[in-house]
Amino acid sequence: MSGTIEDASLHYFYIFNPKLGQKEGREHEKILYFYPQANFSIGIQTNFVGLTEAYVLCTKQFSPDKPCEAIHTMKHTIALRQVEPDIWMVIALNNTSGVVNNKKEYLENEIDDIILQTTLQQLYDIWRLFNGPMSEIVKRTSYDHLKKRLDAFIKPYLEQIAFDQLDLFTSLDGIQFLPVDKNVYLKLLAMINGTEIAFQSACPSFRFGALYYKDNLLWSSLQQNHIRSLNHYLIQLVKIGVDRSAVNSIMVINTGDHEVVWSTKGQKSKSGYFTESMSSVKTTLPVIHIGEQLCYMIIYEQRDTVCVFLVNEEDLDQLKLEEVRESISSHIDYIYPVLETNYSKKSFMEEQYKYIFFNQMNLAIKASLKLKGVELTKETLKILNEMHADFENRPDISESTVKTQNDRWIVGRKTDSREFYVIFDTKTTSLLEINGNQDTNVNILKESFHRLIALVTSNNIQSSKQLQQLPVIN
Amino acid sequence: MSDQLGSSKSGAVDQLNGNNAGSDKAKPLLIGDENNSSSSISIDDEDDSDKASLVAPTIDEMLSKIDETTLANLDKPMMVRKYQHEDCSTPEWFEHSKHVFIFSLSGKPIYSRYGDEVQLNTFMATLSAMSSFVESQKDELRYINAGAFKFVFLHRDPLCLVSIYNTSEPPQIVSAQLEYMHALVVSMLTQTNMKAVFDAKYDLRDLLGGTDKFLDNLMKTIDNDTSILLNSVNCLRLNYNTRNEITTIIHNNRHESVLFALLVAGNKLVSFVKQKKYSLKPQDIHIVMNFVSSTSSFRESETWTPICLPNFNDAGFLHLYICYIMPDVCLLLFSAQAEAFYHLSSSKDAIVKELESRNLLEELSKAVQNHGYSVEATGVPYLLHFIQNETVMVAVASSHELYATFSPLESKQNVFDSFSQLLQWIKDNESNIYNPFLKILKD
Repeated sequence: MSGTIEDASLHYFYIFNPKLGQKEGREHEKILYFYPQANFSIGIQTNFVGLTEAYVLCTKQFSPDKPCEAIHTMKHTIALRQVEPDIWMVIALNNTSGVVNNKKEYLENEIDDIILQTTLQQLYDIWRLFNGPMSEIVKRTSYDHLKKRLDAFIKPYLEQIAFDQLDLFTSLDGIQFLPVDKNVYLKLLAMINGTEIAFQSACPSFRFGALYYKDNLLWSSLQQNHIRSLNHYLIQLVKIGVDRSAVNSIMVINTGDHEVVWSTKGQKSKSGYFTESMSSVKTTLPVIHIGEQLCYMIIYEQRDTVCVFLVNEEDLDQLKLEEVRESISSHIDYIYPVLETNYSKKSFMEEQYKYIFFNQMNLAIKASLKLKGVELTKETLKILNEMHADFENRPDISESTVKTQNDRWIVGRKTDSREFYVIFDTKTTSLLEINGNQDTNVNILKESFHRLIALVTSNNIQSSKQLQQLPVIN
Repeated sequence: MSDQLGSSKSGAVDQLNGNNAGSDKAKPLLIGDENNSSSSISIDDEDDSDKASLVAPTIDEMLSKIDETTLANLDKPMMVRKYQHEDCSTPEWFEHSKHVFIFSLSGKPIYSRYGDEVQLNTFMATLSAMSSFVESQKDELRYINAGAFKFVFLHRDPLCLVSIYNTSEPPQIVSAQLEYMHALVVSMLTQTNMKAVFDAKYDLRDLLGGTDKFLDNLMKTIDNDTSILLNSVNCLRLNYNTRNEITTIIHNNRHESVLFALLVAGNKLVSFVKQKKYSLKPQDIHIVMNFVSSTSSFRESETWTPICLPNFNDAGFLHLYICYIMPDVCLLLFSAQAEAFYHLSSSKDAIVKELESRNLLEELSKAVQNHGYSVEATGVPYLLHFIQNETVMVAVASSHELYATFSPLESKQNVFDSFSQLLQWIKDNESNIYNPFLKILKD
């Protein structure tokens, strides 16, 4: 492929409810949200919905439980996901294209189905976190109101996704943990418990939701699927742990009446509460939906340490944010040098090997491959995607070794819920050496995993027991 | 339907016997363009020259024969295909692991692997509507994923081929299989005729009537034959010198009008001779082998039939001489000349005579009875299966792919060692394994 290469990009995205607009001529009422409105007439939008319904009905005859999930055409890759009963999300990407001999050609198998499914699920999870289920909104208000809110919420989210850079990290959607030793961990627990107790007398529902150092999670009280959405929000959108003035950080703020919008004017300095207006922090705090529960989310940052506090709606008035800040400030000042040391130690160790480790059980991801780094060529990313897809779709596959054309070895292994990928760039090695090498790597990584286990959230003893077996990768 | 073709054959031969002056041994079974139709049409010698012209017959000619075909069929019992009674309303129909449908771009059903295509009219119309909607966006539908099922679409103007399957094969592989199915349809009609039929708004099924068995048979082969997967041709295992001798004999005795000469045993190629300026793609070889093996009547007598080789020239027919020189071994001679039948028949006689005189037929029959390549023969420990692929027209030593499977419990060291041994074994036996193309004879 030569000339100008057009990378994968968003073609369209829409949400529809097949139960609406049943009368002939009113089919367009099925569409709850469509992006980008300007590029498609309402007639074409309606046709897309009709076609999607046809795909679903047709495939349902063969596969009743899992109807149509992905459609591949010459120019586009389309994914469908039913996110709530009768609510479907559809996303279509333009395939990478380029001009060969004056003819436009498309790379048809570049975009991975699993990645698109994850992208849709993430979008829905973030929506759900800040807005609750769509059907609830309709029950409380109306479809028109839902459409208005979708319009305000989804567009900024879609526009920040780099569709040409979706990769294995997108589909794994894991959480990076920071390993710390027992003493530090107990110190952190003491800080969390102390703060909670100190403020719960005035404000019984006050609690820590999560504690981060830079982009690494230290502790969380939330259930796994909730911390996953929250982690995605903090790392991918708010972009904690990096210099937010340099990147497009967006955060959700409350406009009052439980309605939320995205703001680019959030906290940019590295210290204080995340808010649009420093004078009245409480007015812009978003309400988040954790399961059936509703609570305010308060984010506070100091010296790269990020605390997420939760408080029920009725208790917010009793909470003195300034006092919380004063109480926690000295703890953080005391503990952050240790966290910083651990963080740099982790980064150093990671640089020696090129690997990705993912544990489905606690969603832990460890990777020395810096996302979008030079060492991850398109080819390598594609192989990693394919390996992951094989592990997902074919439970009988547990190991896969690939040699690329430029003499790079990629080894992927899956044991129970753990996935491990290693990349070797040594040209002369043979298949057998690679396998031997991988075993040594596993041993080296054991060390750090042990420390990781100690960190597993205290509220989940059960799973941490299972995690004791973690280093047994073979 | 194959049986009908078979049963009508004796009549055809009787008819022809009186006119056969060229060779008393020759009992040509002449099959018209509707060779695929449910009964063969025999044509007398006199007809021979003007009928089988190089240029494809016109639609009117073809259609006029359809009537004969239909009439000729009235006294024959209907052949019932397996699963014929099934359609979308029968739950079993959805259980098949690989469906194949062929319909016109306007949604007219032409073929369904399972069930009666007429009953599946509505279902195919749905598939057609999905495909044509995407088309209207100047795009092409490739495949749909739905749980364990995949829906693969192949668009080949004026036809659309769809496979719905849950065999976990990648869509690209199944798409290539549909290409084979399409090539088979073209081989019956030529692309030019097919377009003409559509432009004239005739029902293609009238012309394709009875081809179901070829399509069914090809699908069965595709599912079981790795050579189609690898776009290559399976060769009969034969001693290097024996194969060379056979190839030379065929080369020396063939009539000057022969474009290609193939000696096949079942779906395995024994020998291949071609004119220097032409080449034959594996796909065409498979189409021909499928055509020959699907028709039992070819075993009984010499046959002269038009066939289109889609990769060679999809606009017109070549004439194919088919004769089994011994049980399971069939000689195929292609010529562009419609009147070359008797020349080719005498070529065959000369070839058989020379093969006999050098005792090669006996060796050949031994080779046919052998079971190809056995795992034991390689002497490689721990090995379960292996297949070897070589891109057909490429010289021997250059690129080949090797696939091997081992028990999942085998250690990597063992697998690695065995694999190396297997590679060595193949290198040592190279000359016996795949050399029908070693000697591509020059003209």
